[in-house]
Amino acid sequence: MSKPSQIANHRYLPSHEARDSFSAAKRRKNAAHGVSRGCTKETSEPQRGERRVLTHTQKSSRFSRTALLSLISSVTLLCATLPARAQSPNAQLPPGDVKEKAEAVCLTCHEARIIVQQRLSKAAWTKELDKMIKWGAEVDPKDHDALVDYFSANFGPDQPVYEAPKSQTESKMKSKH
Amino acid sequence: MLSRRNFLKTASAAALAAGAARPLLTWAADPAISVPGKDGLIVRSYRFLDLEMPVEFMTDWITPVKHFYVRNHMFPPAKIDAGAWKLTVTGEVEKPLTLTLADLAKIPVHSVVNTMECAGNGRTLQSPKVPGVQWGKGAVGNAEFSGPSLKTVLEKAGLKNTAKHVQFRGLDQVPGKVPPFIRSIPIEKALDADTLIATHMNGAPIPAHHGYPARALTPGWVGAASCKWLTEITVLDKPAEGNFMSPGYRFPNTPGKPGEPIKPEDTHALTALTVKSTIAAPSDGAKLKPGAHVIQGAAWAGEADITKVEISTDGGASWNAAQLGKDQAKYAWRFWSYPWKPAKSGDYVILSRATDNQGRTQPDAAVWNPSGYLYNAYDQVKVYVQA
Repeated sequence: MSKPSQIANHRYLPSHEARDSFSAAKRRKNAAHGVSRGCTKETSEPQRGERRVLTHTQKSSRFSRTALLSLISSVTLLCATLPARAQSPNAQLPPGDVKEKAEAVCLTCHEARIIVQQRLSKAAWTKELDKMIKWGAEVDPKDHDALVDYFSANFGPDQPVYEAPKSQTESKMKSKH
Repeated sequence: MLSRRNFLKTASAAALAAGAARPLLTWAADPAISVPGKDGLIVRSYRFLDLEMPVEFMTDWITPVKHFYVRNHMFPPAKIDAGAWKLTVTGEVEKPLTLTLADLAKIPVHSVVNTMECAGNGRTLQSPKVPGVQWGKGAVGNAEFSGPSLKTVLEKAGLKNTAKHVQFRGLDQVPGKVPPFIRSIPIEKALDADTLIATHMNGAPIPAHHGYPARALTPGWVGAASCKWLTEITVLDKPAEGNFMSPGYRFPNTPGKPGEPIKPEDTHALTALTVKSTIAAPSDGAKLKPGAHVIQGAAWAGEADITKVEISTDGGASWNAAQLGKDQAKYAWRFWSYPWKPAKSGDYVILSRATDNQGRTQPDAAVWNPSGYLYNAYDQVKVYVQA
């Protein structure tokens, strides 16, 4: 049985995207210090490049540990709070064993937001899935119960309300051109 | 020198704090969701498109198109060639017709200011929760629709005395095995001069989102009675069949137990809207300073007229009359306002309650039904007054 998403009431970041935004913060920090790294391989000691840059910085502006910590915090906070560089206006389904099955079966006709805003009991989810099958959703009978469990676990009556986003304002759309 | 361990600790703490801050950001406009012609609407679904007006926009008596809600059951038609578009009138008629846009343009135009509301507006407030688009309070708008009266076109075709219902079919693109969006209205409503084949909305050709080049316009009724992208009118000797006549768009004859299913034979098709009010300002959860404020909003009642709107600022213990706005039209909402000076700081529950000239008053709890239609309980906002 899939675990309910911890952020069931928000737009979902698939787990790889969440990881990437953290890595991006680290890369940005490194780049700011003149260190470019092709990967995010962790090391336990600062690299020689970092030490040299810091020494140079220390010479010119006495860049303290506290200041560095604030810089890192703000950069990370900024990257984590920027809307995920969403290429898609559609919502995402949450992680789970049958996530890909659900995507294949459901998202041919409509986007995930139709699903993720529901708050239904298991019995009600069963009824909805059966209605969707009647309307053309190609569900393999052996996946039926697992799909019901996935929807019930993530979008049951006790989950917090889904907060839908807003479309772009007219002025923002105009200013892009 | 900052060790990797300390960096990770700081960054994680920051990221966690950011996660906690996220709810504010989900209210912000999403840069990925750009809908040309629409301005800052709540995206209930992008594909297919269901957009809701935030209630703070309920301050223009005529809702601009850019703020008007959009409801699609399925996909709109691909771009329509206005020159090639045809509207057929067949069934229980003497002389079946095929009309072009040019033919429609020759018929005298009739205009109606209509408050259109989705039958499912307010669904998210139903308890227990029901399936469907989880509309808040903004699947409603008021616009001027113009076009020939449907009556004129039906009389041109000549109605047989077997004519009992008028069925509409649109050019929606139907996915999978979804039943097509086909519904009908009774002949009496079809022959009312205010029921239109609308080609214009707020003075301009009706936009694609709202049914270009023509839609049915059944004023004062649920939005589902106003079929978009109209292409076929079929006169029937009985109500239309199909999913969107039954089990869709039906309401219990007598209220059942919340959460319990209702038998189809104990329901009737939705027709006119019921009495309702919505508070446009202040917003739910607003923090207000002590002093003079204005509580304001809209009220409507389908084919009936609003006679009064009452406001409570003490959670329903006492009620006072709001002032009704001057803008009026037969099927249009009425704006109202209520000056309020909270006596002291604290939490306030503000309620609005409308009454119409059919003697209906909003109830304190809506009639629950399995599809969550026609939610019309008192509207409610909670505000916090602090110096």
